[in-house]
Amino acid sequence: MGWQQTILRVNLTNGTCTTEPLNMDWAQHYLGSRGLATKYLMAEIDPKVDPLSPGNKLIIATGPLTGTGASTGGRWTAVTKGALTGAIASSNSGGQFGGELKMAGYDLVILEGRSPTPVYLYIEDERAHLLPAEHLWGRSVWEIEPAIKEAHNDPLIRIASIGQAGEYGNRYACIVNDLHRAAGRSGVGAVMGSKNLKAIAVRGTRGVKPHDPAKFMAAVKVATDALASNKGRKGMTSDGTIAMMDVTGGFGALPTRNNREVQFEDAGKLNAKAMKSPNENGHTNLIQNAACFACTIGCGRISHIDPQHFSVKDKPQYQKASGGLEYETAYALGSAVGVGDMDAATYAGFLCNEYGMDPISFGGTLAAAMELFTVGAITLEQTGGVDLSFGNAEALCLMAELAGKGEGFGRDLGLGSKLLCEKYGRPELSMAVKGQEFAAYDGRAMQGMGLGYATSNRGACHLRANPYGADFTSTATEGKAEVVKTSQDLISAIDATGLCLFTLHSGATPEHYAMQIDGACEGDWTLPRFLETGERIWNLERQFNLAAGLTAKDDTLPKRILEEPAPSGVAKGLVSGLKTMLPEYYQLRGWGEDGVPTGETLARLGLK
Amino acid sequence: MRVNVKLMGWLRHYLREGIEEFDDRDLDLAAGETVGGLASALGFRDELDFLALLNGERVPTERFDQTTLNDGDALVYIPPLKGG
Repeated sequence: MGWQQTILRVNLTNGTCTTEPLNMDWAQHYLGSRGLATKYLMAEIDPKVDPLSPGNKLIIATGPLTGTGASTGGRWTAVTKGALTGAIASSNSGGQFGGELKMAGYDLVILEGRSPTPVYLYIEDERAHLLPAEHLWGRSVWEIEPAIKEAHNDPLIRIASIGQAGEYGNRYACIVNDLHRAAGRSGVGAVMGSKNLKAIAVRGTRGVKPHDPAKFMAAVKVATDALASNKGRKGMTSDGTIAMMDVTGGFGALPTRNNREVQFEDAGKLNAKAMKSPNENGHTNLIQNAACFACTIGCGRISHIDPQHFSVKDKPQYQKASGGLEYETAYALGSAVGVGDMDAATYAGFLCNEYGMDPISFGGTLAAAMELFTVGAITLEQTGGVDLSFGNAEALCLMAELAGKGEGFGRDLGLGSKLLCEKYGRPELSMAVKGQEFAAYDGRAMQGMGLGYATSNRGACHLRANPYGADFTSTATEGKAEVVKTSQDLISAIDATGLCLFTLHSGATPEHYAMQIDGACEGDWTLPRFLETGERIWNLERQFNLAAGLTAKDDTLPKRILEEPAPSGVAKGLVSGLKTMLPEYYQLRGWGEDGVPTGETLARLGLK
Repeated sequence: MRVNVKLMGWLRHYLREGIEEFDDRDLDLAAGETVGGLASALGFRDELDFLALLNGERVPTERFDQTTLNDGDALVYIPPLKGG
């Protein structure tokens, strides 16, 4: 059926785990994962609730294609009201955990209330219990994974957990699964920590049955063949997403030193070639690529740090292999903070996984702190004697540890850039939208990306829209509103399937998704219906945000991007044309000038 | 004439057989060589989409074969990667 038609509801206040049938009408209208979980969240919480209060809920969601043989069919989403943003938070992750949870028999796990003491959730097919976790609290993700597996005598358990960052309420704390994959953005880990829930451990052996197996497998073959024959896929497997470093660096879209610049002189030390080339000690950062559940692309990186590097010289526990740099991490722990040191960035990335915090927001917040230091808004007194000049690799590594643990100035960093810059009187230095830090693309060189950042329902995000091709082709604003709106709807639908968004960047067409859903799920899933589902999900998220108190005023960009021209690159001299693009975007969306969906749009989508 | 050619991203994996992989090299080219002609000679013209920056300015795709290279030029070929 694709769907397991079962929800696990976990009341952390009472300590109970119960199952209930999935609302199939909602499944037919919101599909799964990001879409279906948002519908449940909207129905079950007050959008004005404090994200870290027991009244918020955290939904761990799979899609109908999660756990199936569809290529990349392993994704899961954490949906909640975000601790970083106060907006809808929908944070997607890969690895193995999602497939295992779906095979255990669940479409969604709804986590509600707050446990009086630390607990972890253990699921083994139809059995689910909350177990004591006082002995795990205060320990890192990397420590508790083996501890839980050992306690249950089962090395095949898949675990999603929080580290110390989620426990103390770091605003961008994330949920880490399989040691180095993450539901990264918007502080979903802080929400989990506020519920005193340390981990979700799952074993699933029940399998997933598509509605029409023959039709489904035929569709999977077509889609998988398209990925295999895609010319860019070879590069993705070989180089990973870090190949983007050369593109944005060459183009002039690589945010550098808190978006003060758009090209980084040391980008060549953080690119794919640097990752695969021996350094002066003969050490090579990259070991091999890695794939998630059912993935035929394999863009993940497995890396190790040079044992002689300052960051790990006296720390043998960090000299082992683990998840290496993605493009986003290479930016956030590299050009954003002015550090051109691959091993330092890799080490800081390891700590982000270990302590459970979003490296994009950590890097963006540290970049803001470095600019605060540069302009004298903070001094050595606030930083605990640490020189936070841009480019200080030792400070990057130390602050990753302090922010992960919530110690010293790390506690301030754990606020996120918006609250940090407000605290020290320079709010304009936070490069964020709706409180969430920019990703690795500058909105002056990439006009569509700037619009995408401003209008993303979860705050600044590089994954909500797909303006890349249009933006690299032209720096003009014409046509970008249409590209952003259309791709936002398509991506909302893709995110609801349980497949990885990178299929879209590796040869998949919209028809491929619709065909696979049509084979896996009951109901006639045509392409128009699939795309309309995405538009419905987008507008539902918008409704949540409006009810939470966000308005069109929040669909904006920092002053730097709106008013300070890009200093170099293809877009030298340009600022963001948001004020031109946004009215057209609202019109295309069927929203009023106030950014509110019209009655006609809501009625058309069945949202009234 | 001599032109500095940079191949960004994973373009270096798509060179014609017999051409040693590179990402930043000064190439000796015949007079009159174009942005498009060089991409064909290097082998990736028909393999995947790409952009070109000549001396920091983007060359429109439709003008690849009309844009002649000159001695001392800096040419960057970029595959338009998406996402990540």
